[in-house]
Amino acid sequence: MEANNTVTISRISTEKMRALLWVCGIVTLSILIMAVLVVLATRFTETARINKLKADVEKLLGREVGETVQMDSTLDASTAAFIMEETDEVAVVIRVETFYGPMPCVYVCSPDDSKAIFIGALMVDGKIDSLLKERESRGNQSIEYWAGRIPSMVYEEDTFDSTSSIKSSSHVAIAPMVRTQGDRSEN
Amino acid sequence: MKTNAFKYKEDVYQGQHYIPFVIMSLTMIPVPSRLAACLVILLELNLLVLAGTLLRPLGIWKMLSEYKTILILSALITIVIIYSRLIALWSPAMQMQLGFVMYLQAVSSFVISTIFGNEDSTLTSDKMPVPDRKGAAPAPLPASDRWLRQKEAAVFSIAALVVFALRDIIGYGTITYPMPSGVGSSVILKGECVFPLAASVPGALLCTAGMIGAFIMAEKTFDIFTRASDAHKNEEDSAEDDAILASGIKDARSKK
Repeated sequence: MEANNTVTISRISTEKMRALLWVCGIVTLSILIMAVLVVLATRFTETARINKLKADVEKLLGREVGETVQMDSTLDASTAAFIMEETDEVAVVIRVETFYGPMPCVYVCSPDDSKAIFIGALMVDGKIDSLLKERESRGNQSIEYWAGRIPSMVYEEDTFDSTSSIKSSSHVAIAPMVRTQGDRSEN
Repeated sequence: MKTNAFKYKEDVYQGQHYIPFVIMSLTMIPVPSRLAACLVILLELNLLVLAGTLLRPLGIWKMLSEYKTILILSALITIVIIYSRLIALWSPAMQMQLGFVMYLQAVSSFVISTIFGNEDSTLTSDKMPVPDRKGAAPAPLPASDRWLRQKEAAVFSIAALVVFALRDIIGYGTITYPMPSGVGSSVILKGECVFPLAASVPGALLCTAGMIGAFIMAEKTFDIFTRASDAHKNEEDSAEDDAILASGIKDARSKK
C-alpha cells in the first residue's frame, strides 16, 4: 500500500484576495492623488506668490527690486530675498515673531555691514510700526536678533568686505541653525 | 398611558458646549490680531469642519474601515495645504504672517472630532443616555447629530469675528478687510487712542479668556431658560401620569 504523500496547502480564496486588492488599490490611489494635488498646487503658485511679494516689498522700500536670491530650502515658506537694482544690496522678507504676533519684516543688507537694517513690516502702519522701530521697545528684540542673523544667511564669506558674494543657487545649503563659523553677533 | 420610558436629557450635555468653544479659541491665539487674518482662519475652520462632516458618512468606509481615520485626516491636511497656497496667491504677506497657524486648525481635536460619531464609540457621543425618574433601562444611542460641529463652529465664528474686530480697532486703530488685490485697511482710531497691548500676544490671551468667560455666562443664562421650560413640561407629564395612576388605584380598590 502506497503511503499517502499529498500535502494540503491552505490558500486565501480568490474572492478574499480580490477584496484585499481592491482595498489596497483604493487606499494607495487616494494617497497618490492627494500627493499629486499638493505638489501641483505648490509648483504652480510659487511664481505668482514671489511676484506679488516683490511688488509689496517695492511698495514698502520705494525702490525697484530685481531677481530673487536662493535661500536655504528650510526657510522657503517664511522667507524671500531679492537683489536690489542699482546697488549690491539684498532685500530680505522674513517672518519674525514679534511681541505683536508674527509679522513679515523687511530688512536690507549689504556686503559691507555685519548687520541688516530693519526697514519695516509689511501690512503694518501707525503706532505699532513706530513701536517696532524703536530701539528699546519690546517688539524689537526678535527684530534685532534677525538683523544679526540675516547677513550670514545671504552672504558666503565670513568677513564682510567688498569681496563678499551672494550665495549662488548651486551652493549647498547649510541649515541656518548650524553655526559652522562661530558666533558672529556683535552689539 | 403616556410612557416616559426613556429620555435623552439635553441637560446632561449642558455645560459641555463650552469645550469645543475653548478648543477653537486656543487654536486662534497665535493668529495676528487683524480682522482679515481672522476671516481667513475662520473660513478655513468652517471648510475643514464641512469636509469632515461630509466625508464621515460615505458608504466606502464599510470596505475601508481600518483606513477611514487616516484617509480622512490626509484629506483634511491636503485641503489645508491647497488653501494655504491659494491664500499665498491672493496675499503672500498674509500667508507669510499666518504660516503654521493654518496647519494648527487641521490637527486641532475639534476638527478631528468631526470624523467620529456615536456609532464609533460611546465615549464620543454627543448625548448621554439617562434613565428618567421612572427608572427604565436605557435604550441604544441614537445617531449623533451630523451638523452639530458645524453649528458649534458657526457660533464660535460669530464670537471670534466680534473679538478680532475689537482687537483690530483698539490695537491697530484700523479695520482690515479682504480685497481682490490683497488686504485693505481703513483707519478708525488715530494716534494716541490706540492701545497696542490688545494687538500683542499677551493681549490675545486676555481676549481669549474674556471670550470664553462671556460664552460660559451666556450658555448658563440660556440653560436657565430651557430648564425652566423643561421643568414646566415635566410637571404637566407627571400630573397626567399621577392622574392615570390614581384612577388605576381607584379601579383596583373598587374591584376589591
